Amino acid sequence: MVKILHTADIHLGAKFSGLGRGGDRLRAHLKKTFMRIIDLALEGKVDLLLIAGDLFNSNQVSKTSLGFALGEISRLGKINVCLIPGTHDCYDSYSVYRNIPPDIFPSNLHILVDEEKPFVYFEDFNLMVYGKGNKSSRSKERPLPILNDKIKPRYNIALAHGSLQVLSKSQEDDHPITPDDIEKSGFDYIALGHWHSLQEVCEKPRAFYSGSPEQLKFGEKGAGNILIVELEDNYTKVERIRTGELKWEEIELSAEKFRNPSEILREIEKHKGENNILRVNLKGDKRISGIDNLSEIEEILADHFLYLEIVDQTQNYLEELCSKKFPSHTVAGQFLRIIEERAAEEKDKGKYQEAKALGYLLLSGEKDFKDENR
Amino acid sequence: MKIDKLNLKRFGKLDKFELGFDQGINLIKGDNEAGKSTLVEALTCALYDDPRSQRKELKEKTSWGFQKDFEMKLDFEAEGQSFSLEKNFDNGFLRLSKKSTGENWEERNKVEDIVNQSIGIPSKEFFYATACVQQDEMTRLDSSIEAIKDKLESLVTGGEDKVKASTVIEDLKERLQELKKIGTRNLGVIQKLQKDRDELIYELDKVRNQNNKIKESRSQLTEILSNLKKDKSQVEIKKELLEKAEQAARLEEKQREFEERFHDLSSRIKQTQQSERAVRKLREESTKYIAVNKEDKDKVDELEAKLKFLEEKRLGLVKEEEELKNVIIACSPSKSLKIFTLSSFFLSLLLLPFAIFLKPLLWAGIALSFALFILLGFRLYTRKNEKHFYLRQIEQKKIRFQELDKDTYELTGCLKNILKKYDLVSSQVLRENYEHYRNIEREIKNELSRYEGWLGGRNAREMENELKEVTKELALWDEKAKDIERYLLKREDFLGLQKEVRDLEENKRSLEDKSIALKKELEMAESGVELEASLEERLEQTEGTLGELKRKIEVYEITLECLEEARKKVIDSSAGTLEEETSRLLKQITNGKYDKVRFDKNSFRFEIYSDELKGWVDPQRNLSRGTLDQIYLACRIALLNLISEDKKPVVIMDDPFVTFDKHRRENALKLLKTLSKKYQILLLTCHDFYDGYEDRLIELPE
Repeated sequence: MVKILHTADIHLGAKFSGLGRGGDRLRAHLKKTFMRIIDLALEGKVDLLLIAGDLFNSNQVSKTSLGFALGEISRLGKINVCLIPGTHDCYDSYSVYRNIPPDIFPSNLHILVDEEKPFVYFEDFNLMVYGKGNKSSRSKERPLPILNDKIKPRYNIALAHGSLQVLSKSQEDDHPITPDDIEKSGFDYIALGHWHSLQEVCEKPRAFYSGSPEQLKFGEKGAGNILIVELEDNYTKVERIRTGELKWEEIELSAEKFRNPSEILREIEKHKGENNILRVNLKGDKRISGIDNLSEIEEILADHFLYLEIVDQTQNYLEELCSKKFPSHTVAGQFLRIIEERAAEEKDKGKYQEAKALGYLLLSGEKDFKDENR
Repeated sequence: MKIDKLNLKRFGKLDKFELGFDQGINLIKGDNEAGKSTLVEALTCALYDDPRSQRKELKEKTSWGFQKDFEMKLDFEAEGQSFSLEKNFDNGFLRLSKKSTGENWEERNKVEDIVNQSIGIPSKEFFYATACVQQDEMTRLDSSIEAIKDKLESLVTGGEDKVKASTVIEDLKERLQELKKIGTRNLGVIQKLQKDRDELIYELDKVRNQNNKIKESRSQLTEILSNLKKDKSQVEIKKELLEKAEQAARLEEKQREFEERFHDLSSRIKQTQQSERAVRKLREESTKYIAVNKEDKDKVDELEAKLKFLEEKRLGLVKEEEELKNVIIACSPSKSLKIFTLSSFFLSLLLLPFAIFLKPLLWAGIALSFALFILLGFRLYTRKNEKHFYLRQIEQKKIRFQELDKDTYELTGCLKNILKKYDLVSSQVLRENYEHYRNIEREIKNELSRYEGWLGGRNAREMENELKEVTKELALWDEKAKDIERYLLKREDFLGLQKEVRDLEENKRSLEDKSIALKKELEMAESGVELEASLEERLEQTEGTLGELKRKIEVYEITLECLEEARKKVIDSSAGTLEEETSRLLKQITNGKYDKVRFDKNSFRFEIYSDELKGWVDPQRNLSRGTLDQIYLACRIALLNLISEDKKPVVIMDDPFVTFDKHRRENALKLLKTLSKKYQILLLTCHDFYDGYEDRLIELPE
């Protein structure tokens, strides 16, 4: 029996758009996740670790990060690691996998990039791992390697990073893998990467997307796992192990339900967690609750979350404010008329809508209206 | 507008509550906490609030202990039509029905439209600001005319009673200034953000450049390494060719060397053989000649020379003898001399006897002849002596002849001995033999030295062996050269190849150097995409905030501009109307004592025209407290007229004159009575001051 750990799409060094300073924490967390994978491989006494592409989020990996990843791999000692470049860390001319200084290159790491010899043989297990790393971020070339009939080890395993051509949405140049390719491939197990969600693709031969070991954005369901594969002559057992610790949550709150900022703070606090990334979409009318400074709430709660973001989607109920209702003898009436006239000539009506509400609120003596940035 | 009836369920203190109202002053009396304020709230809520609203402040109005939220129904008349407005805040139900036609509206906007049209005041805030005079409002105006002025301005502004457009404008300006502030130490909000952004952009740019450089370097390194690989194999191929060419050249050299030696040896052998032949020939020739000893030859020469000398000497002697004989002949005195001498003698003797004559001439002659005789006689004597001398000499010579002959004989004997030794006829032949022989000997010697020279220190056999050896070697090298011969290059081609290899190696070295440098550079390079991502994220955030702020500024600016314009327009247009209306009402209240009010459009100060003083007066200095109250009330009502545009909204007054003294209150109430002809007034109080002025008295239960 051979025991294999299959992972992919770790995306070390990923950029987290829109998360501001949270990005740094998330990147640090991804490193932790990778360490955890190595720990799992050691604890589970696996024979082989497979990384099906996108270990790094980019080919521009800092020395520290490269050193970190290689250091972790060498921590595995005699456990061999087979890796293929994916789409983000493809094997182009400036690939991170090129020219790694020999002194930091772990002896147990096998990067499958040789076109002539797209496989590596492990005598101890009579096992052959096939893989041909992606050479560019987009390509119509099929990433699934082809089995060499002449060599007949006991087990044949394939590594491939690409997108399965089953859905109409799959793009041709996204390293296509067809179900037909998989079925006819003749491998014992196919370790796939590129999709971030865990997915069984084929039963014979068994082909899996392990998905990312950690969820990388909102709504990415099915991410946060690795697979332990046990190969026997007529039987392949695949077991899922949860590695994801991050909780990406997006909630909606209605500002009107809260009487004051601390109430809303308490509500958000209910979702706290050191690995939680929370996005709160605040709707409704926030005037009643007196929440005028959302960033203040974010700051107060910042330590309770890995990242917290409150998106102000409050709708000013005054948007339907119509000048017709107000007599033109009043400043408010006059103001609304002027602003409506101007808005008619403008493209960015939103600004005028805001100005209209602001002016009206100020004229109505909105005392609690404070400048958020003061 | 006239409110007829209000029904309330579960609204604060008022549950299952119903109240009817009349035209004119409705005096609503009740103790504190009887629900007067709740009633006012219920009325405004019925008029303005949306039953679907989830706002806390509304939900809180529901009577304590009820699950369901409150309901209300308001019957009112407007422009001759009766309406019924139902609102259920529990389920959000809303309906307005027109009693005369039986029409129904449930759509919020439509209902709000009709209700607002009926009231003439568009919002709750405006309602509170104009038609609703709150408790103590008049009291608070006591302190100064400034307060009244502010109040008036805020009323004109049309917002809530505490808000003045000018304050709002100032406030906005201040906020804008704060946002746009540019400071040196304390940075403005925008300024700080921009600074942060610029710093981030700079940093990001740096990191990106670095990353790009690394990317470039990586790419370069890959290319260099692939070139290096190519170059290495190229170098190897060329080097091998070069080596073979060199080897071939070396072989050729060796070959040539042996060939040369072969030719050299061959020619030497030939030459020695020739020499040998020549020597043999010379030796043969030498036998023809007698080998004369050099000493003998020299002796012969010497002897001959001596003989020659003796001969010469003999010839000399002969000659001398001859000469001597001649001399002797010459010396022998001639006959004439003898004759002359005798003659002279005889003459002198002949003459001598004549000498007795003593004749001079004869004497002279005798002397002369005697002298001549002496002279000739002496001559004859000396000649005889000479002849004897020479004769003696000839004698001597003859002795020497004998000696010479003796010598010559000896010498010739020697010579003859020598010739006899060699059996030669003459010394000439001997000399010839000697010369010939010697020449041949010399030639042989020369030839032999040449021969030695050809042999070069070896003997002929050795040389033969060497030639054999060389021939063998030559054959061996020829064999060796056979395989490699084709690699042999022409000189210029060889040099070309050499240069090519040198260039390739140079190139290889430079590529290696470059790759080492690049590797080092890459090894040293930190940064990477994480930092870039981090900076990008922060930049995104900063730019987002900055964008929001800039938008906010724009919004503020638009608001400010429009507000300023609106304020100016309103003051321009409404001040006149307000002046007119206030003047009219003031005249009515003061029974014609004051009938003119004017407002300053900027400061909103107002002045009153006093007939007594025949001029405009500052109300604070010249008017009584009561008059000021009257003016304020007049203004407020004038404003209500202005805003409601003759819609005549219901006027709610919550104990407005509670702190007035009796006199002031009476005047105010008089005004209220006048107003009640036009407006429906709800006067709320817990006092009895207003008793008698009401058109309908409503007492709230305890």
